Amino acid sequence: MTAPATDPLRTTSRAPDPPQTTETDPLRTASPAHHPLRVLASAAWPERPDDRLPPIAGFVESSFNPLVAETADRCLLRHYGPPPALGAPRTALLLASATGDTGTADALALATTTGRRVPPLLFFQSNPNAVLGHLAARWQLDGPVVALGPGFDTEDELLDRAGLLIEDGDAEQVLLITAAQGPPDRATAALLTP
Amino acid sequence: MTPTAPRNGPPRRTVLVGGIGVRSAFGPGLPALLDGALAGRPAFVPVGRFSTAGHRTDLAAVADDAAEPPSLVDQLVAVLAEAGALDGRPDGAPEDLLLALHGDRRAGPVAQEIAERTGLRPRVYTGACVAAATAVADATALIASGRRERVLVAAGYLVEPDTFAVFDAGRALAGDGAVRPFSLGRQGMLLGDAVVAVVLESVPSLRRSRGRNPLARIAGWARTGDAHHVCRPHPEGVGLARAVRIALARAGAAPDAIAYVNANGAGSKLGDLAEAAALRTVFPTGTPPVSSTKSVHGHALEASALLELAVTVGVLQAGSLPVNAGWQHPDPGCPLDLVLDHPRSAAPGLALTLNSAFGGANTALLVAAA
Repeated sequence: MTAPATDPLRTTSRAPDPPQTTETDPLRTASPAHHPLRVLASAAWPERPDDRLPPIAGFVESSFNPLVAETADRCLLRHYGPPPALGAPRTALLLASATGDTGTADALALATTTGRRVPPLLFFQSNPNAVLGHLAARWQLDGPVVALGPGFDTEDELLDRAGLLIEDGDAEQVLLITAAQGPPDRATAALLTP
Repeated sequence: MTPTAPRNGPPRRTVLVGGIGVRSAFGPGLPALLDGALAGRPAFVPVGRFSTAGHRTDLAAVADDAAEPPSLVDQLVAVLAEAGALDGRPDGAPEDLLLALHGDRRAGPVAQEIAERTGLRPRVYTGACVAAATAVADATALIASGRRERVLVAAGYLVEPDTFAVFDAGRALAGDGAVRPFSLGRQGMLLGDAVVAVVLESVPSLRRSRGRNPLARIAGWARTGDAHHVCRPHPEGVGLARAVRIALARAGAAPDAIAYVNANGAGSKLGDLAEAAALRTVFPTGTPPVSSTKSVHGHALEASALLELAVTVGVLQAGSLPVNAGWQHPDPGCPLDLVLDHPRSAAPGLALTLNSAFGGANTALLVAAA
């Protein structure tokens, strides 16, 4: 998604350390009438002027996957501590990005238009599910893996989709991530529960 | 890992398939697709719309091999019209369209043009090979829970040079020019065109449409994750088996109610083994008849699940099961009751269509005759 004019998840914490949870102090209640959600933990990218994205082994060329992974990691770390997320209820991973991984798409397009060899690793990261698989394996979260693109433009629309996964019974909580490659890169993550 | 059991959710309402529009490598319409699938006739031809020089294959299931590819937007509008999706709501308000597309820079402009030409409100799903099935599951949940009377789902993928090149670079394409799901010696997938639209609606919504009969019913659905690897499936198909069980629970049915499985079956070594393991877990004494129609219409990536849902609906209507084409020799890791050589008569029951994707994502859709 393009850099949101209003932060879709309204993260309230700007300090990455120490880990913190908000289980007893819900940050907010989502507005869709069908399924009000509480925010258990949240994170954003960037959270400080000198923030740097750590690389992820196996992902190359583009900042999209490190952006998603680091923001999600921060959010989950604040709630569960280091991975895996022991005792977590069934958790869906829901990623919304209107433009997707533009870095990988550009690297691929450059290779094909110039006749150069396509780096094999681009295959694995050619869709946004891959970084969600990285997160699911690292944190042992086995709920639905869902990636959304343009058309989910407001906070309510994203929360509605998150709530639907819970209401429908496939998930008991949802890690909702938004990501927009820049510059500047921006992302948010929120762990949502009924 | 999760200790909790899946819930069935609130009371459900019947969800019908009210219309289908299809463009595939077999041409326009569901009958053409079904004819090709039942005959086990692969639609793979040399690609003419871009250069495949230097790749391990030049084949894909494309609707034509003209130098200029067809317009994805034109085809999406056409299948939406054929499905009956453009007849509008009684109150004239814009309808949501859950639209599965490859998640690159083209998705936004395609969605925008669809909105301008149809008045629909596209909401794009980009989750690789489960994108369209996830959209169907969401649409079904919205109707079953009573929140919507009708939801439109569409998906489109036309074989193009960037995905062709990256799948070739990942050694995912079959170098021997055939897709051989669950067969010893399988080498991988081949890509294929698919543009599909499906109207999902409640019984009252269909009644209001006057003159249309339901094509099928979505009896069960599920979306799960493996929590295993960036791109490899869990070797035991744990998440996929769970998806089938959840779909069965929603349908209020036991495994023996399933009379046909339209498998994900992309022809990959690991993916087919994992899917076979999942099916053996659900059906420990033997599977119902299984075939992967990717063996004839190719892998349409984000659109694949909607194409295979269309095939599955067609199978229920025809009462005949499509062939798992390309099969050569039994793989001991895939002990399935595959439909080989000739179409088989369908026994009464539910049809299951499965999809799996990178990230360990799985979906299961259970389809019943209307």
